[in-house]
Amino acid sequence: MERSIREKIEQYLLNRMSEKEKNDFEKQIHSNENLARQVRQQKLIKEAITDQEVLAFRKKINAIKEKSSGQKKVIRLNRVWTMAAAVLLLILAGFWFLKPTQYTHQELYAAFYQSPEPEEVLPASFYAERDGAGNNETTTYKMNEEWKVARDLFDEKRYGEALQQMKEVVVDSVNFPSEYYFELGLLNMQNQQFYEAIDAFGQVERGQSNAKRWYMALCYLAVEDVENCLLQLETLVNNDNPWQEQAKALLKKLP
Amino acid sequence: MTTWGQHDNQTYLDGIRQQDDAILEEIYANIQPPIITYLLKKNVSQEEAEDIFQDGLITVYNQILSNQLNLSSTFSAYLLGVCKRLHLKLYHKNKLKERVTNEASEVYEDDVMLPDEILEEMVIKNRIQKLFLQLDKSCQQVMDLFWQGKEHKEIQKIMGFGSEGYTRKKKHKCQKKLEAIIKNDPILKDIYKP
Repeated sequence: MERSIREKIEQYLLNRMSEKEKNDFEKQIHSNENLARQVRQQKLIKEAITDQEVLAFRKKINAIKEKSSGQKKVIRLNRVWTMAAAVLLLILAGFWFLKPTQYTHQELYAAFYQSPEPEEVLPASFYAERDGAGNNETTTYKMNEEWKVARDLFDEKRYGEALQQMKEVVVDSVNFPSEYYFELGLLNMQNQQFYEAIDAFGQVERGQSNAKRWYMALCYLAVEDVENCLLQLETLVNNDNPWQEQAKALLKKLP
Repeated sequence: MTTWGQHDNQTYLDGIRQQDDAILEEIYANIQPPIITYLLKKNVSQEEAEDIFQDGLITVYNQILSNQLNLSSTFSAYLLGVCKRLHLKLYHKNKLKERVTNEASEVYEDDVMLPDEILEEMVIKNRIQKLFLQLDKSCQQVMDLFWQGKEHKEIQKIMGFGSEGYTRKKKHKCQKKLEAIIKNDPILKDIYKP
């Protein structure tokens, strides 16, 4: 679907069109079968996603289904095969404790680390300034020139050069020290310099607390500091945040 | 008359409307197994049978919410009837026509008064929801906020993203991801034709 058509359909379904735009668009829908089909499909997606009551009901019965299939397994085990299963479990448990960890920490790091998109880390006002759309408010956040060059290198995925450039930045001269250190941490991670990354994340004092925690957890994992890794993960698991599910998944895989 | 449940109809309907754990667990414990057994005899897999049962229960929930449900049979018989209709709709759409006709008449005996087009729409929405829940949590949140009518700027703030541009990109990626899953879904690709 073309982006402009998609946006029009969205505007239409979100009631963001003027009366005239709406009438014109409805005429197009009536005369264009393909467009009518696309509108219907997006409408169904919208309705399915925003139907909070039904989604909540679905989640609830998913949980009950999980619970009930878990119970069934237990009941089955409790019948004829209880003793045999117990013996087997003991053997398996012994085997499990004797065999080495299933995944190395480096493998887990590689599986869970995804390079973030740079835009994820800086405030919108920064982009307004860089894109030349700054106003009085954004001028306050004017970015240091060296950092700007580093950011462009980061955008181009030239991480080694970006890191060198970032190190040229005089930290006292930047208006966003926390964002600077966060980005420095990410660049160190990209360059496999995990101790430096941990140091940089440690200096982030404002914002990005969950993101910082997630990346620090991965850095600790990469340097085999499982205790500190677990500390970060446990905090993420107990809060509602975008890294919660990943943190849970990683926690499960750790010994 | 089919009666597998322990309660009267009203208790089931109220329990489902209120999403009552005890009633839902009782439905899964006592009503689900015979319906699954029935569906397994129709050559569907265990997983498909469980999906049909779940969609059947959600269809009933939708009907209760929109006050479209007026039971003249027992709740369990009605739920079985809905599952039969869903099974016909989902798995026998273009095949085994003769058998389907015979089965359809058997279903109508169970008094499931659901117009075909409403059932089809419910099937599609159920399926989309199921696929939507397969997206990662941040995609689910972004798409939910967007379709609730929040502006990109607001979504950026709620999600803690760095910029409005990133928020737009993220939303676009999530939409594409969902549409790709829909296109590859064996059931939706037949009836939804994206």
